[in-house]
Amino acid sequence: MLKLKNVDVLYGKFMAVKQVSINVKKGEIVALIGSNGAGKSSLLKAVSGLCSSVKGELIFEDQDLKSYKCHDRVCEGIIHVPEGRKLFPRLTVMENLQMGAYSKKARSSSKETLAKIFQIFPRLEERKNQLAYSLSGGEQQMCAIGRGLMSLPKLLLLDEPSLGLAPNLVKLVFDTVKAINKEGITILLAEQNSTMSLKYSDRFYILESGNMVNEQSKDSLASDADIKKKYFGLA
Amino acid sequence: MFLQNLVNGIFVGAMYGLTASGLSLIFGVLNIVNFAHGEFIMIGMYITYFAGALLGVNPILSVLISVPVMLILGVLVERFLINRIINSSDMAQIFLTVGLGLVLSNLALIFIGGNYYSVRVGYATESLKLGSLLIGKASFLTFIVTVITFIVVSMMLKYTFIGKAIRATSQDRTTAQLMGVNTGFIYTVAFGLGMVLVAISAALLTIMFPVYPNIGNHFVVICFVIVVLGGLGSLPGALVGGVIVGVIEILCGYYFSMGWKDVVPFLVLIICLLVRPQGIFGTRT
Amino acid sequence: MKKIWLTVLAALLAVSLAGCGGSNKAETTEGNQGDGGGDIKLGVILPLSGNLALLGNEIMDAINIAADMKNKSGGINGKKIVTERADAPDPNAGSTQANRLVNTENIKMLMGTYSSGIAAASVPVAMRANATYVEVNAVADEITGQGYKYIWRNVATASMMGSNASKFAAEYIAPKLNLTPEKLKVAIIHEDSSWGTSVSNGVRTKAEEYNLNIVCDESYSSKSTDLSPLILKMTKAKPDVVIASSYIADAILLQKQAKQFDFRPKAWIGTSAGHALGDYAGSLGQDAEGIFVSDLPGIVSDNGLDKDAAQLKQEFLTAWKASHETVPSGVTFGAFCGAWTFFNDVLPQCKTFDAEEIRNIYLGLDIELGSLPDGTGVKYGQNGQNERATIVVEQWQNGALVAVWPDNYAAAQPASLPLPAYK
Ligand SMILES: Nc1ncnc2c1ncn2[C@@H]1O[C@H](COP(=O)(O)OP(=O)(O)OP(=O)(O)O)[C@@H](O)[C@H]1O
Ligand SMILES: [Mg+2]
Repeated sequence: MLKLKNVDVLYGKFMAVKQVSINVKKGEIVALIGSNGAGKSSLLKAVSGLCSSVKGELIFEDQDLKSYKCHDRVCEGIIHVPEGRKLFPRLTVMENLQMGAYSKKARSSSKETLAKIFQIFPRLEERKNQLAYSLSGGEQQMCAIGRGLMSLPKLLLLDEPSLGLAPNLVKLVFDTVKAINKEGITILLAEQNSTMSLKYSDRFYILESGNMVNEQSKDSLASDADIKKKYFGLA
Repeated sequence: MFLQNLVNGIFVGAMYGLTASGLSLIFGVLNIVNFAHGEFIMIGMYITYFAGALLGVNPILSVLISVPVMLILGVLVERFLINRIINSSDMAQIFLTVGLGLVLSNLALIFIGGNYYSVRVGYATESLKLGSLLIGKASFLTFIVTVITFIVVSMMLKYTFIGKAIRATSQDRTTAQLMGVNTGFIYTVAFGLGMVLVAISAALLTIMFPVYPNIGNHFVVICFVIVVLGGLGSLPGALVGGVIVGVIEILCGYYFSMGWKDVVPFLVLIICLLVRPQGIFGTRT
Repeated sequence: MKKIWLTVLAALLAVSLAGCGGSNKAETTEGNQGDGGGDIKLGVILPLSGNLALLGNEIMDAINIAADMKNKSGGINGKKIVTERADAPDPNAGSTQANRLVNTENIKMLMGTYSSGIAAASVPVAMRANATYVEVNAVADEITGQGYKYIWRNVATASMMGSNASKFAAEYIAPKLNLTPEKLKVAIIHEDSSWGTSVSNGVRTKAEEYNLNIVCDESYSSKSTDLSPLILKMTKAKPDVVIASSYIADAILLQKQAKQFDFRPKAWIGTSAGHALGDYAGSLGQDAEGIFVSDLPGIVSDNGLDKDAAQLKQEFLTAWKASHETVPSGVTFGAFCGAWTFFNDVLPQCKTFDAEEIRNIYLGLDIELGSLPDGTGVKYGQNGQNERATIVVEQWQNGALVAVWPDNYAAAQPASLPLPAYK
């Protein structure tokens, strides 16, 4: 579904991502793992179109993504739930969700989508008239994911959904991600929380200072003790 | 007399609020301080003046002409000029809008000349009597139009899809893009809408003030004060800030000294910034 | 980034082109370039662009008409007067232009300046370079109050304009209203820049001399967007006469708001500036009728002029009308007369044209009142102020400003006293 080949991401002269190639198949949960500054967010931004200086090939459903502007990629079915939620602070929960359905395609069926999202996150319905900045961290993350789903995406880019959440909430978020995935939405996930990512993803890529160091599936990891130790703290 | 002054203050304040609203909206969404605001007011006033002088159109009805003209002008200015500096340094933005203002006022000087033109309508100097209270028809009209305009624009921002997109963009332009909002388009819309507000306020100002190439200077300082006081980019803030400034200014002028009247807005602003740096309706960033 | 800067530069370029349109060009007043060395060069510093351009350009025209007339009748002992125009829309530009003229172009005779603020910047530059400066309009008292040796102002000062208003109120209005001056209630209001302040000082001093009853004395900013508190204060103080020193936008606003709040004194006297502009009456229509203006003399009755002056006035008006639709205002007349005296009475006596020589000539001039088209005469004090500058009171009658007082200059009788109630 999504194919990146030899992708560079540049901020001015600084190269945040170097020659990275990844491949996400329909229906998968794929995780990008790496420490701070590894380039995970930058890679997601390259896919959603927030980074203007991107080299290499970006193919989404056989189309060259680079010919689409950032806001047009939403129509094509890519939605990016950014790091730190980035809700619109002075819009209500409801309005935030509606903004998710801004693209023409999603707008017409936004009522039904909304009902579905309130099913997944009943908490959001209770708080629908509350201004987003006053939500708790967990609620904000739900709202951010809900807002992303409002666009009826084919591919959901999730950047650090567990950031700043208590362990039980982290689990809840990942469970929800899994559930969403079951509904047929492909997920590309950037996470520092490697243990959880490992548990919930089908495959993962490891980034280190902009370079891709490894691609693994769950099964192959079992046999790679080095990686296990270095990135997952497993013995 | 107190009541009379209070009413006058509210009317003046409403006029301030409306005059500042375009500046506030544009700043809120585009994050650009439009130093050419006064010159756009000037253009709006000329349109109203010429509509009256050449076509016999009443200043109030002249908005039927000036609103579309200013909208188009706003769209063109945004597309061809503002657009290019939207992500540039403050310095570039200041240069561009200040320069634009200078160009506009000098163009007016060259093509229209330095004369002071006024429309002459009876209601400019007539009043309604409410007991001992005198209510200037022009001030009252301005007040009504201001209230209606604020209600309409607020509803539009609150309930329409494009209105929500405008607010979302003003709060977080990057994320708005991620949600599929064509922010470039939103900037154009917001700038055009700002110009519509300018056109409406300019039409009303023309009832009381003569228009000449630098008339904008009369209003622009107070507009900046109000936008900061009300909270950068907040429309209700502009109205409330305007009324506060208007009332205090008028009361000060009457009970204290006319000489201090025009200093007062700055004092109010300074006090407000000490107590509430983000302005009355503003939010911290 | 490059694009941005290009845009900005383009904007700035356009500004400078728009702003300085036509400046810095030497103009011969007869059309084609003069033959260089033989000309007498005069730098003229005026706001030809910007806020003040309207009258600035009219003044430039008046000076050029004077030069033209002199050149046509043989020039200065055969030499032609050539004016070098220097656009100074603001004080900064005033000092820059004065610098350019005296130091770069080496022109040692300057004329200007209309705005007192600009004059305050350009005159000192000329004085430091020992150049002659003929001030033909700016009225601020300070210009001739600094002890400069080479400044020559033919028109009256701001405070003279103010004191004349009080004099008119005491000597003419009070008797007409059957009041003694002590009983005449006066409101003094003025915009609070240095101009309005110095005019109102003249108003106040003279009013106190006459023992007028000052019931209200207020300053305000000319950029005020609302003057209702001032009107309400006056409503309460009930003055018979308002003496207002205003620029134009505020003068118009004052009148409109006075009517809004039904404030109608028996007489309203403006001191030059805003109240004297054609646009004042144009903006107010009927509401300007009957307003008095204490002003530099514009078109005065021929009764106050000697024969040559009346003739010269006709020649000036004919030349003026060839290129203008409006009648020249007091400032414009002042410019013509100041320039004419310089061209006709000073320059022909010059040998070296240096400032000291010109000073001696100026101090020696003694020309009776009524010898110039605006009714003034010439007699300079050591400070460079023409002591025979005069002030008249004009009144808006049927949309035109006509001289009504004192008698010998009056082209019509004062009317609408007291002012009729609003319709
Ligand atoms: N807008 C930017 N301008 C310049 N450099 C940037 C920008 N955004 C990110 N970088 C740099 O790019 C590198 C990769 O950043 P990125 O945000 O992609 O890392 P990350 O893997 O998401 O880290 P984290 O886990 O902390 O979120 C970092 O060194 C960062 O400083
Ligand atoms: Mg990141």
